[in-house]
Amino acid sequence: MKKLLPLVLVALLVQGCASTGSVKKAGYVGLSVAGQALFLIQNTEMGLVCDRPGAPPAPACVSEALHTTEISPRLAKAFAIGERASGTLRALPPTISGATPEVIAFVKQIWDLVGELMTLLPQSDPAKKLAAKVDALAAKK
Amino acid sequence: MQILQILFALAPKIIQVAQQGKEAWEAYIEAQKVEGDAEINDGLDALKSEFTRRRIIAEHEAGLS
Repeated sequence: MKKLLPLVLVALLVQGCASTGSVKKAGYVGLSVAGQALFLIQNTEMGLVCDRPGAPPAPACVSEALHTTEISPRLAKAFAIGERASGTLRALPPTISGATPEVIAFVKQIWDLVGELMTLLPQSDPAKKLAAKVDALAAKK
Repeated sequence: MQILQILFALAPKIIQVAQQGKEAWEAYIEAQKVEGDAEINDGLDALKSEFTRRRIIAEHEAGLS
């Protein structure tokens, strides 16, 4: 599914542009949904780090090393892309038409990182619930 | 009778799936509500601020800041 996400995203974003008539709005909706997926991942993952209050016991918890060296840097990178995408979209004139490859590329990069982050999380009930929510968001792209 | 038993057994799962779909739907609908360039720009400004706030947290968690 994770390999298909970017392709579905691009198709829906282009379709959204055509159907709503507003490239900027379609980009904003796509970026908002991708951002929501990232926010959910960060909220959930912070509570899964081993030895933190409410974290599940090993092996279901996220080790400190995984949290520090793999997950947090990817989240930071994804949020930085989100910042750039927001700025790029904001700078677009309201009347712009046609595809915006730069914004589509930014949103695709965010979903790629969402896919990577989900595969890094150890199996646990909260991780399963998170995966269901992220899948539901992916379907809204 | 058997159908009712099955429905009762599945009820928690059905409710859980519906709630997960609801969150995604709400995020999507919130973004879709925005109309006009000024509102879109306001939404993008708010989104950018939230990305920045969360990037700072993630960098701190990664020991990068």
